[in-house]
Amino acid sequence: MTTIKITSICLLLIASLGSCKKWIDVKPSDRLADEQLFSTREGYLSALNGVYVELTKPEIYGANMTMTALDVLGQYYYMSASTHQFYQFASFNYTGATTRTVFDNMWKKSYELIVNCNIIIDQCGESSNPLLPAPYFGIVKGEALALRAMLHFDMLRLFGPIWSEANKDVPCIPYNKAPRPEVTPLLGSATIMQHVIDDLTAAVALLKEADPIITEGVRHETSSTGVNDFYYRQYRLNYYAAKALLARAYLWKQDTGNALREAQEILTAVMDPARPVFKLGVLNPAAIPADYDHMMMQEVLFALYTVNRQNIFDDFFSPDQVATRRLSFNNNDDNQSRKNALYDDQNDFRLKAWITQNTASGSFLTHIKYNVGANTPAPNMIPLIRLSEVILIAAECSPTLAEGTAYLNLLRTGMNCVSVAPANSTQLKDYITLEFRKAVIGEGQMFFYYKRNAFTTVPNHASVSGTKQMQLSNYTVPLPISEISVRGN
Amino acid sequence: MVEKETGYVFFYNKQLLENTKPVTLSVENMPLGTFLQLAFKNQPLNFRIEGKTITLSRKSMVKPEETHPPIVQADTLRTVTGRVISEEGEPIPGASVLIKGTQKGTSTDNKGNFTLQAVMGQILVFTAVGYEQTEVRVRAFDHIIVKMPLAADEMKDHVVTGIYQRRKESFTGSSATFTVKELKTVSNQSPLQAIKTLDPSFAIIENTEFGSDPNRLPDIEIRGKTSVIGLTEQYGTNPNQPLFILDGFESTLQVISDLSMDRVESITILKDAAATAIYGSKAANGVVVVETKRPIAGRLRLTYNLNSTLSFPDFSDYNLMNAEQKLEFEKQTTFLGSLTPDGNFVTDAADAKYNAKLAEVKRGVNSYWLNEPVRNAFTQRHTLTAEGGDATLRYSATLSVGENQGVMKGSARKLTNGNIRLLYRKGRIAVSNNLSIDVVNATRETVPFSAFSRANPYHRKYNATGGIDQILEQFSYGSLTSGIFNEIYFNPLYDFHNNNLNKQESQGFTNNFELEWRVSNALRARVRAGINRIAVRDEIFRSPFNAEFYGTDPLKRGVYSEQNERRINYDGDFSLTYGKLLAGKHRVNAVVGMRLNQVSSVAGSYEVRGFVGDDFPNASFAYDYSDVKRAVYLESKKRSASYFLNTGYSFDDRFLLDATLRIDGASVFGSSRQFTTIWSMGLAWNIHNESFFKNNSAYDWLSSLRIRASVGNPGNQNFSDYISARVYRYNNENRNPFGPSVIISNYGNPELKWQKTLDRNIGFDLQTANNRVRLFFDYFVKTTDPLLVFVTVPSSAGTVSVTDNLGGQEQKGFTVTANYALLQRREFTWMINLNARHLKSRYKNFGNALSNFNEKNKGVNMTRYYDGASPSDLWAVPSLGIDPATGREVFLTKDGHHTFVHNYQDEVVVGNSDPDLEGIIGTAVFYKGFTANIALRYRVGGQIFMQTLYNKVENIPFQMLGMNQDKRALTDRWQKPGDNAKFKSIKEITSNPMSSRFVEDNNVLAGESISIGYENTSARWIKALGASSVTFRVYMNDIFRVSTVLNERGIDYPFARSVSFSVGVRF
Repeated sequence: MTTIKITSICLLLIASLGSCKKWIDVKPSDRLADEQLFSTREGYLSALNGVYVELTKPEIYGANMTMTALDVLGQYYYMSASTHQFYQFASFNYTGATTRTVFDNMWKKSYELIVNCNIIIDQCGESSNPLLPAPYFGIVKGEALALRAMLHFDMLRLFGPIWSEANKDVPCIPYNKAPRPEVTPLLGSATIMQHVIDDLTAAVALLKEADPIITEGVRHETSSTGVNDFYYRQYRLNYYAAKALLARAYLWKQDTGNALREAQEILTAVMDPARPVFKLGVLNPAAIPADYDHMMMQEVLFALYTVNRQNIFDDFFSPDQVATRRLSFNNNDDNQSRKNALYDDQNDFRLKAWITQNTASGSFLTHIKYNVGANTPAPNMIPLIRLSEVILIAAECSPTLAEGTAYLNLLRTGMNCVSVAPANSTQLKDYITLEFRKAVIGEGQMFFYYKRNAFTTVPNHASVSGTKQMQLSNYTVPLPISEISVRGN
Repeated sequence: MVEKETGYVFFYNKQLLENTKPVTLSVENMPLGTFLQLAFKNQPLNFRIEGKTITLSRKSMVKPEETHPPIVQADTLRTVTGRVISEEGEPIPGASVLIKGTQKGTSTDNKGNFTLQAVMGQILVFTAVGYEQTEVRVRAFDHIIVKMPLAADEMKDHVVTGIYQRRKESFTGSSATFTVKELKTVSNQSPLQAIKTLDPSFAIIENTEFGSDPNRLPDIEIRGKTSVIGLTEQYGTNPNQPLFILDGFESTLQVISDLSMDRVESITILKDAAATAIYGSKAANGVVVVETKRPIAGRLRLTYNLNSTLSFPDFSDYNLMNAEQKLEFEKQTTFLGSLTPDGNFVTDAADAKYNAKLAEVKRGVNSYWLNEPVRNAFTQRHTLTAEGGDATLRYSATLSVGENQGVMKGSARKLTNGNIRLLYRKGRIAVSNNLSIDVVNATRETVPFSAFSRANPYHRKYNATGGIDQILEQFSYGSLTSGIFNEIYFNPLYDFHNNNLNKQESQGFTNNFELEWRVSNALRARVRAGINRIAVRDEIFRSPFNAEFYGTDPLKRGVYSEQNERRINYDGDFSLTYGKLLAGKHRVNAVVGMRLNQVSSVAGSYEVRGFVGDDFPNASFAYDYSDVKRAVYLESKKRSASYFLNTGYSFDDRFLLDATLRIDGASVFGSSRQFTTIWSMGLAWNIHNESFFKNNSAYDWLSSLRIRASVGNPGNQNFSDYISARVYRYNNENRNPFGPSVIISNYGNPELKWQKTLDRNIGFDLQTANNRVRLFFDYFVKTTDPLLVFVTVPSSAGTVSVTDNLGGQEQKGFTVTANYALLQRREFTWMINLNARHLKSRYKNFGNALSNFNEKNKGVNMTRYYDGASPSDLWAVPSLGIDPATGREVFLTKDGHHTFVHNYQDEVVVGNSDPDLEGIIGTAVFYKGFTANIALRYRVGGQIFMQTLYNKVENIPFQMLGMNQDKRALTDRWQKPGDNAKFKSIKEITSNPMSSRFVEDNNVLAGESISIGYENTSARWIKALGASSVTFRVYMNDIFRVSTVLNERGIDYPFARSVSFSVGVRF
C-alpha cells in the first residue's frame, strides 16, 4: 500500500518536471521579447523600421552627422566666436568635452543600430521562408545589409584614415557582424571597405529581385490599403540608393572604374526620359520661398523621415536662435559674400534656399532648406543620398575631360545653371568640388569629400571669404573614449 | 552527587521534583541501577538510564483508588495503545501519559509505545522533557499516534531549515539557532539587530549616510560578499543579501525587519553549503530562517508584551565650527574678499560685510542648528496574544501595534500586524493555516539632516519678530572676468516648516496553508501553499515655497508624485520526509520535494507640478503634468521551479553524512540555461560519542566535541528580471509612414550562466562538562567564479556594458564564538563571551573588463577592480604630506621618487576598509530571575577613507566656503611657509585628488547592547495580579562609541543612541 502511494507521488513529481520548463519561461508583458517579435512578418518590418526611425536621432543623421557637426567640419559656416556651440568642430579640436561627447554618441548610436541590423539579418536566415515570403525577404534583409554597410562606411570615413595604399591596412575601426554585443577586432580600411562592398553587393542582389522601385518608381504616396511596405521607397535604402552607396564606396577606395560603372548603371536606369525614377530639378519652381522644393525631392535617392523637421530649422538656422547656436554664412547678419562666392549662377535653383529674413532685431541671411512651410513638398525629409552626387561621381570618374564635362553640365543644366567648359581636368575637378558643395549642403557629405581628396586647403571658418590650411591629420577623428578605454590597444 | 560520582547526567523537568521528598542514602560500590531504585522507591518518579543520561519522569500511581474514587466504572475501561513521537517522527521514550483529572497513567517504552486503560472521552495528557505538553482526547480504541512538538527552549538543539528539521546532533552543516529569549537579552528593537550581536557571521553594514533612519533597510551580509560590490545600482537589487525564510516561505528583508520580536519563536542562520544548499540557487549569501510562535494548547491564555525605546541623536562624530571660528574661516579663505599682506580686506565692501557679521557674533549669535530637526524619539510596540486549544485544534491570535519614531522629526514607521494561526491535527492528518495582515505607514523627514549641519552658526534662526525668514543672507561676489555669482543662503527651518510630505503606506496580506499526511510512521508527505499580496503607495509632495523652487517659473513650483505598486507572490511546496532508525544504529533521514514560486508586480507612477499653495498636498491642485518625468508603468513576472533531495545518514550518532541535490529553474536566466544543479556534501564526526572517548576518564572534562566539514555550490539569484532576455521597446518619439517601429532596449545575454559560489567550510564545536566552556569555530573559503557582472565592452559592440560571467572572487575567513562560565554557583552564573569575524577576499580573472569602473571611480572613491586585489582595498597615490615650505602635497611615485604631480598611475593599496577582526566581547550574569548582559562591539585593524577630511576640511569649493565646515578646516590647514600642517593651504579651493593622506586606521569600541532583565513565574505578587509570569528588561543600545578617527557619520540622517525597556506579562 505504502509503496504504491510513494510510487504514485514520485511519478507525479517526474511528470511535473517536464511541464515546469514551460512554466518558468516567462515573457515580459510590458516589453517585447525578441522571440515574440520575430514570430510575425510585421515584427521583422517593425524591427527594420526601428532602425530607420532611430537614424533620425540628433546624435546621428538627425543633426550631428548631417547639417550640424559634420557640416561644420566641412567648413560651410562662418564661426569666429569661441563661444559658439560648434566652434570646436570648426577648428578641429577633437579633444574638447563637446566634440568628444558628440563623436562618442555618433559612434555609440551607429554601432547600436549596426547590432540591431545584425539581429535582423541573423533572424532573416538564408532564404525566403513562409514567415518572410519572397518580396519581403529581399527587402528586409537587403535593406538591413545596406544599412549596416552605410553605417560602417560612415564610421570609417569619420574615424578611419584617408584612404591610401600606405595606410589601408592600419587597424582603425571594427566591422561588427555579430547579432549580439560582442567585441570585434579593429580592422584596416581595406578590409572594412571589402566588407562594405560585400554587404552592399549582397544587398543590391537581394533588392534587385524584390524592390518595387525598379518597376513602380518611388511611389511617394500613401498606399490605397494603408500599408506602405512597398511605398515611399525614397525613405528606405532602396535598390538604387544601395547602388549609389556602392559607387560612393568604390570611389572612396579610389576604384574609379567600378565607381563609374555603378554610377552609369544608376543613371541609365533612373534617368530614362520615358520613365524617370528620379529626376533633377524642382517640383514647384514658381512657389514662394517657404513652400519651394529646396530639397529637390525628385532627385533624392535616400532620405530619412522625421516628424520634427521644423525643429532642425528652429534650433540651428532660424534668426530667432541665439548667435552662439545659429549656423550661418556670416557673423549673424546679412553679409552675402560667402553665399555669392559659392553660387556662380544666379539662376541656380539651390540659391533659393538662401533668403534674407527680417526680424525685430534686424535682417539675417538665412538658410531655409530645413524650414517647413504650409505647402512645402516632402516636409519630413532629411536627404542622405541624391542623384547630383551620382552624376558627380560619374563626372569625376570619367576617363576623358569631355565625358566628365558632359556629366557636370548634365547636373548644371538640371539645376538651371549655364553650362561650363573646363579647360583641363584640374578645372573640371574644381567645378565638381563647387557643384558638390552646393548639392549636399546640410547633408553631411562635404567633410568626407575633402577627406577623400586629401585637400590641404579648405574654406576658412573664421572669415566670410578665403581659405585656410588644413592639416591632413585633422581628417581623422580619434576613436571615442568609450571605445578605446576598454579596448586597451 | 550522583553526577559527580558516576559521570551520569540527570535529565528532568523542575516540576517533577515539586512533590519529591528528600532522601538520604549512604551506599558504597552499589551498581547505579540498584542505587537509583532504592532512592526513588518512595518518590512519585520513574527513572530510566540511557547512555550517560538518567531521565526522570512522573511515576504512574499504582493505587490511585485509595485517594481518588474512580471516575468511571471498571467495566467501561478499554485498553488504549499508542505511540508518542516527535515532529520528525522519532519515538519519544519515557514520556508520561496521564488521564486528565486523575493520577492514573503510564509512561512510554523505548520505542515510544504505551498501553493503558481509559474510557472514551477522557483526555490523555502527554508530558516529556524537552517537549510541549500535549493533550489528546480518547475517541477510538485503536492505536493513537501522538506527535509532540518541541518545547521552545529545545529549539536550540534542532536545526530548522524551513524545509526540514534535524537534530543538531546529527546535522553536519554550520548553523546557529537563537530563541527569542536569547534575542531579547540583547535588543528589543528588531530581531536583526539582535542577531548582529549574537552571531559573528551576521553583519549589518553601517550606513554612514542614513544613520538610524527607521525607514531605511539595513544592508545585511552573512560571511561577507559573494558578488562584486559597487555594482549594486546596476543589478537593481542588492546581490549580497541573504535569503529570508519566514515560517517556511520566502520572505523579504522588509517583512523580517518589521516583524515584532514577540512573535518570533526562533531564528536560525544557515551558513555553509551543507546547511543552505536546500535553497539552491538563492542560498549563496546564507539563509535566515525565522519561525514564529506556534499556539500552545490549553485553556485560553493571554500574553501581553510591551517594547519601548527612547532614542536620542548622537552628534559625537560632528566637529563643526562655531560662529566665531566660522567667521574667521571665511576671512582666512578670502571668501569675504581679498586680503592685503597684513591681513586687512582690500575693499571697503568686504570689510563692511565682515564687520556686520562680526557684530552679530559679538552680540552672541551662535546658532546651533543640529538640534533643530531632531528629537528624542519614543518608540513603542504592544503585542497581545491569545492562544489555546486542545490536542486536535489549537489556535492563536496576535495583534501587534507599534510606532517606531525616528530621531529626525517627522520620520516614523507605524506598524500594525494581525495574525491568526490555526493548527488542526487528527489521526494521520495535520492541517495548519497562518494568516497575517500587515499595515505599515511610514513617513520620512522632508529636509535632510545635512541641510542643518551645513547651516552657518552666525546666522540667526529666527528673525526679530520670532518668525522664520526663507533667506538668511544673499549677496553677489566674483568679478567681471570670473563672472558674477549670486549666493543665497536659505534657512533650512523654513523648508522644514512648509507642508512637505513623504509617506508610504503599505498593506500586506499573507496566508500560508500547510497539510501534512503521515503516510507511515517513518514517512510523511507535506503540501504547502502560500499567497502573499502587498500594495504599496508612495506619495511625495514638495511645497512650492521650498528653497529648491526659488526663482523658478511659478507654474512649475511644487511637485507631487505618486507611485503605486502591487506585488503578488505565490508559493507552492510539496515534500516527502522519511526518517527511521535502522538496526538501532543507522539513522536515515531523507527529504525529497519540489517548490514553485511566482513573483509578479505591477507599478505605475506619475508626477505633477505647479502648486500655488501647500495646504492641500494632492494632485488635483497641480497645474500640469511634469515635463521632466514621464508617467511610468512597469510590470514584471519572475518564476522559479525547483526539485530537491536531501539525505542525512548517521551511524551510531558518531559518523554523520549529509548530501543535498537541488535542481533550480528560474525565468531570469537565459532560455538555454534555465535550469541548474546545486549540490552539497557534509561530513561530521561526533568524537564525544566514540567509545574510546566515553570510556576514557581523561576526557571527562569534555562533554562534546565534533568536527564538521562541508562543500557545495549554492547560487545567487538576486539579479534584475530579464537580464538574460533580449527585449525590444516601441519607439513612439518619431513616426513614419511604415507603421510601428521597435528598437532593442535591453540586449540581455541568453548565454548567461547562473552565479554559483563554491563554499567550503570546516569547523568544530566543543563543550566542556557543565557547559563551562563552549567554543564554536568555522573556517570557510567561498569562491565565486565566474561572477555575474556588468562587463564594460568597447562601444562598438553596440552597447557599453553587457551582463556576462566573468572574473572571480574568493573570500576566506573564520568566525569564532566562545563562552566561558567564570562562576557557576547554585543560582548564580557569570559568563563571559567573545565572538569574532575575520574576512579576506580578492578578485581574479577580470583582466581589464572593469577598467571603465576603475576610471569612473577615480576621484569619486578608492575602490578599484584589479586582479589579485581585495574588493575592500583602498587605492590611492601615497602621500608624503604637505610640504611646509610651499603648502603643496608631496606624492610618492611608484619608482620611489618624490613629486608634486599627482598621477593615477602611481596608485597603490593604501589601506583596507575591512577590519582584521570584528566582533563582540561581552559578559552576562544570571542570578535567580535576574540577568545582566553587556555586549561591546570591537573593530581592530583596517582603515577608513575619511570622507569628512576630504569633503569638509579640504577640497571645499569656493561656493561651499559659505557653508559650515569641519573645525579642522580652520585649525589644521597650512597657512604660511614653515607650517607643519596635515592639510593644504587654507586658501586652496581647487579639488585635490584622493591620496593616502585621507586614509586613517579605524579601530572602534562601541557599547552595542547593555541590558538588565528580570523574570519571575512564582512570586506571590504575580499570582495576585492573576498572571503566570512577568518579565522586565531594560536596554541601552549603541550608548557609546569610541573610535580612533573623527569622521562624520549619519550625513543625511543622524545615528541614535537608545535606551529601551520591555515588559511581558502572561496570564
